[in-house]
Amino acid sequence: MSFIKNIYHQAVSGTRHLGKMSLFLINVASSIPKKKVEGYQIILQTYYIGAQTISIIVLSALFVGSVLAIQGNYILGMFAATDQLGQFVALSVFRELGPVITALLFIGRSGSTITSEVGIMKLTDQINALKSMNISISKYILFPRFISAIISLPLLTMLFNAFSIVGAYIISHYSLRLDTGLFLISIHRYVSFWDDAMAGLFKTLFFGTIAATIALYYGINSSNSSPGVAEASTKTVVYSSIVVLLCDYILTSMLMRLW
Amino acid sequence: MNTPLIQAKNLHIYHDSQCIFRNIDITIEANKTTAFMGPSGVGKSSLLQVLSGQKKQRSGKILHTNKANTQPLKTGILFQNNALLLHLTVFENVALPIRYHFQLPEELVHELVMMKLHAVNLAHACELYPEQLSGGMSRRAAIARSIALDPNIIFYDEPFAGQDPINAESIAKLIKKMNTYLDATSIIITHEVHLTLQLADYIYIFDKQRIASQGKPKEVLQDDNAFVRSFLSPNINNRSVNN
Repeated sequence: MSFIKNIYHQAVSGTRHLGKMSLFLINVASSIPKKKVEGYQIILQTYYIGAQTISIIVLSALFVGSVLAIQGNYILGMFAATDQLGQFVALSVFRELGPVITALLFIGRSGSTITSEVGIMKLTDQINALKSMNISISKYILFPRFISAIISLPLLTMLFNAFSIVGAYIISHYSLRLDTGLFLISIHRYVSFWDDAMAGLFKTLFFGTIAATIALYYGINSSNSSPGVAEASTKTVVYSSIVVLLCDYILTSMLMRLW
Repeated sequence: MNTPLIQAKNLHIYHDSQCIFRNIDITIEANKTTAFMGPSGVGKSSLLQVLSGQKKQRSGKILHTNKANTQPLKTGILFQNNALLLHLTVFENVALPIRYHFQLPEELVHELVMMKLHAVNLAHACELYPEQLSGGMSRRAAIARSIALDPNIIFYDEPFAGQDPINAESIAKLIKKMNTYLDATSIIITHEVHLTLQLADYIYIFDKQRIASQGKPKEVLQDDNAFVRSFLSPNINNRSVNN
């Protein structure tokens, strides 16, 4: 009985958070900055959230591409189809791995940063100080981070996609000794820009919205203590990752029917 | 009593479900320095939050009246931990409220900010970040930011906390200077008795959800209340006080 009660309470609490988060999302998304100072924050946050994540994305993409090339070569080798390696890597990355891995890396790096930064601002009274100066928290703190995440994630995904192909190309040429001409031709012939690359990038708009909303929500609602901020960062990473994967499943199912 | 700037009547203040103040009346006179004193945890900061509009009282009325009686009261707040924005320099911290609320040419913003920083003797540190400042410098930078918009009333939450005696003394002088030059009203929350007796025009001493004593420094010093006497005792004798 207590087990059922526990599940019931968890479900109620989860639904309440979901409701609050939806209202929070509407509030943040509608707080469009009108002042120059707020607009400048968007550029600044895009640099912090997006540009400073580039090195992690590029490095990870090179390794993911390399691993895909090795695994692809093994699997395709069973069917004597190693000339399709380029297509195999590109389709895997563009349609699925690129958007999802970039989103997960982004959550780990920028999502947790957003939560800790906002949580610490709250903990050290910086948020109260801004309020006391009649500065809108939604417009000055929340919206710039929110929109920067939505702008950054598709751009980072493009980078991830490109460097995965580079990684796979390098491995297929120098390690697997495959014909790189065939590698590139199979990509050119079988990978569609609209159906494959754009479908993946389309998903990142949702992933960016999810990552930013959860990060900001837990940051601004973190309790006023160091463990509270740490807990909020952990929640951001865990919940964002799960919701992104769930959203990926839903979007992929829908896109496969539409496209 | 002169013109009251803030009048609070029958205030009941709660923190979560715990009652902090029960049915207290506070009057803040214009262009004077009023100090709220009392032991730690008595709820002075909560009272400041209520009076500055950061927090709502459970019941009671707070009336704000400024000179012209037409514009809303402009407030500046000095937070206990300074609350400077860590990603901005001292200059940017002070410039932020000015840039946010007014569309002024950058030269004018620079001039205004440097004027505030000169007032707190911090012009030389304008390019430093909060993490590069000493405790006293951070406090002065926070004071400069709190006066950036030329407020009618400035709330100081524990301005002397964590400061050495020389720094505390210079901050007390700075508060006095701000009152004079800005024609502002100050509310100070502190348990630094010695400096407060010199600085304040009116003092409220709180104990257990109520006002234990109130009056001019001399009147408070002559209070017979046992709690007030024990709270002020190390400072009662041989100290200069503000009449």
